[in-house]
Amino acid sequence: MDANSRNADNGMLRLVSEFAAVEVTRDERGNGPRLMIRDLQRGRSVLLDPLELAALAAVRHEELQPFLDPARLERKTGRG
Amino acid sequence: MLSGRNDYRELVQDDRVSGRLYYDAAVFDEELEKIWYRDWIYVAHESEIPEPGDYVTRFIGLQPVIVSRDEDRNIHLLLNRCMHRGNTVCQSERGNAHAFRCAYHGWTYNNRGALVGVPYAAGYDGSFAREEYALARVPRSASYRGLIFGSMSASGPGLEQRLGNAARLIDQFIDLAPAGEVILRSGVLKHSFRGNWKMALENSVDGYHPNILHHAAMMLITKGRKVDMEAVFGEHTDALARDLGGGSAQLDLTPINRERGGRVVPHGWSAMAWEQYLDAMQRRWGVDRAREIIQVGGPHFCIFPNIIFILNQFRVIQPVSVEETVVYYYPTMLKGAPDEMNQRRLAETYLIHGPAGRVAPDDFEAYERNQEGFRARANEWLVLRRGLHRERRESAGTIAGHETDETTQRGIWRHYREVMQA
Repeated sequence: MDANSRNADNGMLRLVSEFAAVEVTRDERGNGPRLMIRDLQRGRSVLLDPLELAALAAVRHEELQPFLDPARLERKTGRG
Repeated sequence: MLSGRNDYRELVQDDRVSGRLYYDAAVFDEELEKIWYRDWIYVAHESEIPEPGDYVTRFIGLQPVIVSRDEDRNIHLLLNRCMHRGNTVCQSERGNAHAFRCAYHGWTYNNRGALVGVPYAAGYDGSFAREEYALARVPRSASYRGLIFGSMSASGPGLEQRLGNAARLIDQFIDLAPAGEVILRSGVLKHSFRGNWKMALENSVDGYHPNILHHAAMMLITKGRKVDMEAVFGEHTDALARDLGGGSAQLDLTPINRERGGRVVPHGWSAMAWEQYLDAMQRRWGVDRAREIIQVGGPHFCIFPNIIFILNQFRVIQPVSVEETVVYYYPTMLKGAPDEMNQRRLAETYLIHGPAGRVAPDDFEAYERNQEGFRARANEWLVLRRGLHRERRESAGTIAGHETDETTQRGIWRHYREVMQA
């Protein structure tokens, strides 16, 4: 495992490519477990529950393309 | 740069070639157009992008290219140039991504090349159609036994036709693998040198120099072993230098390999590994065919203009400028062979061809001395007449000479003259 995808001491998994850098952790603050994905470049994060993750497991990469449109990121970082 | 149109019939003669072909920037520019942007050029091996989303970045001539594998496992050869303002989109030599985002203004493409998004899209009016801004594709791409080639020309002979006699030697190289595939996942040695790309191609099939330039290495290699390098690369060898046609050429060591009982990797694996390998080969090929493949051994040849096969490696020539070149040495693993044998193949690559290796550094030193020597203009010519009187045409249309003869270089130059004069 190289420096771009190693487990940190706290169980955090860091994944880095030339296009993005994220950290992934198991989150236990709720009543059930979730997966937290943190975008290290923009500072945003999302918590995904097992059902949402199961849905992702069935997705084709081309279905994720709308989420990759940079215009979408603008909306999420919008003013206010 | 020298003025006027180059007459390649004058610069490339049957028994000598002009030094200008190695240092004239105008010749290099013409080579890009007539060779690198017209012929089939090796770009990558399928095993380098095994997973969906895998990609590697390469060059065809000087043009940057992305070789990607999509989620349906199809391979794409895309020009690494953002359709917006021309930046390279991928910088890494290898990675995994289903989308590529240009770092300059964020234009984002999927790994099939389609434009999937642009930032601040309201700045483009209704006439802006994403379909018109997909990454450009290399006009033609094709694979042979896992080797991916691309051609910047939309027309011309197909890949297998272009490979010609060299195709069966690719088979010979790969059939040594019990699973019928080679794997390039063990890194690469990169050697940069201040010299013209054609030297690396010519030298790869030069059977005259090993016992002289690599004298020290040969002494080390043969120390304590019953190997007479004079019988391999010397005057009394039974090996041949062969012009395969189309600028491709071979040093045919088959008689030597048979005498030694085959040549899968040079030496040094255990009896147990050998038995496992033999068993795996016999199960795939049958006893007689397996024996023949092993006896004939790994071939030693080059395919014009940029790929060389020697023993256990692929070598890939990458021109940078008229006087600068990079050669990549990829150790190849035999799929289905015992790990010990593949470890030995890997070690052979870095021990012989690494920065402190026994052989490759000699070659790069020779290329740079060659390039320096060309500055002396008293004598314009490089002499390639060795063995011209004793070579013969074979039934396959190939030309064979004594292994130390310059039959191979003459074959390369004959093809070069044909394509450059066209």
